[in-house]
Amino acid sequence: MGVIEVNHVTKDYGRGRGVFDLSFSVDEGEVLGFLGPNGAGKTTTIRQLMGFIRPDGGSLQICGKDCFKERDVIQRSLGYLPGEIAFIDSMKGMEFVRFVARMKEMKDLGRAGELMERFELHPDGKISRMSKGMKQKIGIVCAFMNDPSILILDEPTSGLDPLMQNRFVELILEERKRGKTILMSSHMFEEIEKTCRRAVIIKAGRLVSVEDVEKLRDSKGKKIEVRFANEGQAGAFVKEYALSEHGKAWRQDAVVGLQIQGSMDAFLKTVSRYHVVDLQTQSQSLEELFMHFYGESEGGKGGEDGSGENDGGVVRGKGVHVG
Amino acid sequence: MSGVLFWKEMKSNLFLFVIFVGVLLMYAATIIYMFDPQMADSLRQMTESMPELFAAFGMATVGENLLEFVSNYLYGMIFLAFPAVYLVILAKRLIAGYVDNGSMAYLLATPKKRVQIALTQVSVMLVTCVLVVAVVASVMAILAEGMFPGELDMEGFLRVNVGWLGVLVFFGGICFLFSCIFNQSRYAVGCSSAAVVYAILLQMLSQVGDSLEKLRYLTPLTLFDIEGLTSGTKEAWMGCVTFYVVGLACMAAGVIYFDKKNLPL
Repeated sequence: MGVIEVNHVTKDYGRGRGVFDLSFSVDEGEVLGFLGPNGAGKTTTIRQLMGFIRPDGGSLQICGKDCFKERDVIQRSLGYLPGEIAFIDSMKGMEFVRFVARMKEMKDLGRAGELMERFELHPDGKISRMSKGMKQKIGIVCAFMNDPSILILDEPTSGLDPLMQNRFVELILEERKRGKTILMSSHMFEEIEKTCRRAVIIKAGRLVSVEDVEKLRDSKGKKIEVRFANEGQAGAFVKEYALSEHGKAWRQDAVVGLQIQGSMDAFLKTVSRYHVVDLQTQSQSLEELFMHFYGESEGGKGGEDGSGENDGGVVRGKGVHVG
Repeated sequence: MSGVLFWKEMKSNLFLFVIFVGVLLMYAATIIYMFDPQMADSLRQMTESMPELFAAFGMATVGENLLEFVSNYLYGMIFLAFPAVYLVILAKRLIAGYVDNGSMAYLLATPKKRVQIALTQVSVMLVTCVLVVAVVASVMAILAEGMFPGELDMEGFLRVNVGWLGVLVFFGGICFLFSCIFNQSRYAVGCSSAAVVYAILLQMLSQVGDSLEKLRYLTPLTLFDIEGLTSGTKEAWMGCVTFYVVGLACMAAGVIYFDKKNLPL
């Protein structure tokens, strides 16, 4: 049995929002990625794990304890980073950290000092004057400072700059080595890719699948734009590349755009015979990744839950947070 | 109960407390200062010239002694309306404010039961009510003793203040309940203020004249029988007990509701 168990959970907010018959589990010592576009139901699931809301159906357990009824017991070994950062604005940063430490019944500030150093956080001023990144760092410090054995992190790197995002990934990898059980939600595959071996993917509140991150990474496509020395070169490349059956390419003047799934080898070997002025790669968005993943590996599976006709609606018009 | 949270709340509400108690003390000092056994006659004439207006503010009779004088001029209206505003704000801050801005998540991401958090906030509310009454009444007693030694009937004054505390607990309970029910502060503030304004406004109207006198059955404040409390009648005590019971029951209901409800955090 997993440390975190979600069994056939349904929480219906109407108009298709919420989560529906969702089941997954996080094993002890595992870092599980929780992937889905905005509004897919990640936060709704986490709120239920935290005991903030009660499921309409199904059950959620952490360490075998019911998430709504025994939430206070669960909290003894849990660290939580909310997706929406909201502190007590009238407090100063350090004051808030101390307050949370005392609320958590800690004797001292635990790992707070070390974590603040790691994230270069100097929380002296008032929280209401702080940038989003600084607030996010305070949230991270509060979640990790009592060194809990289980961590639930809702979009932990939002608001952090790339340098700090990397520091955060390092932190998660260290915690993984120390045997922590972590559930981490994200709408960015890159973040999950670096830290997790498995990822739960949800869309429109329903489980799409639980996949090995390795497998997802292999199916991830890259968009590439190549600028050639002249239009002639570009045209010739498109012709040759199309012949090699690797995929489609489009051309505008001397610029060629194409999309590659899996290995870059064939593309690089072909393009190296031409005069390349510039080359840009762009990672796929999560939505595109899902579409490719299910389009190519198991075409039938995606159609099962009717996601085919839902796709457009899911990707668009979901900026609002559920609940 | 959480001592950490309790002291955090006491500290962050201190400023507001000082302001409101300061205003009450200013009124109290002015009224006590104005008391003059010889001047009662001229005041009576003034009251008789505009009986409706004075009655609306609970000042129908001038009062023969210092206790009647202060209870008529202060406890009828000013000592109800001002603290009510404070309690509306305080109740909102204690629960709905945290839920609305999302910081309740941090209070609940601790090994505390929701009931413990809510009871802590209830205790902040109750201690605040007691402090308002204790501070204001003590200062008034000292002022009265200083200016007019022996004039204030201390026992009667104490009874009126016990009654006053009952009304504050009642107001606090209603506001706290709304704060627990609503997830958005503005609804909590809206409903609390509506309830408080309704009670006070109807009491004012019912005192104006005979035609509106029946309105007194529609406002709970009729149970706050100041005259009865000064002399200590049984009916007045019954009314007083009702305020405490209803106020505490509202707080308990708020705690239970908060424990069970879904929180949008």
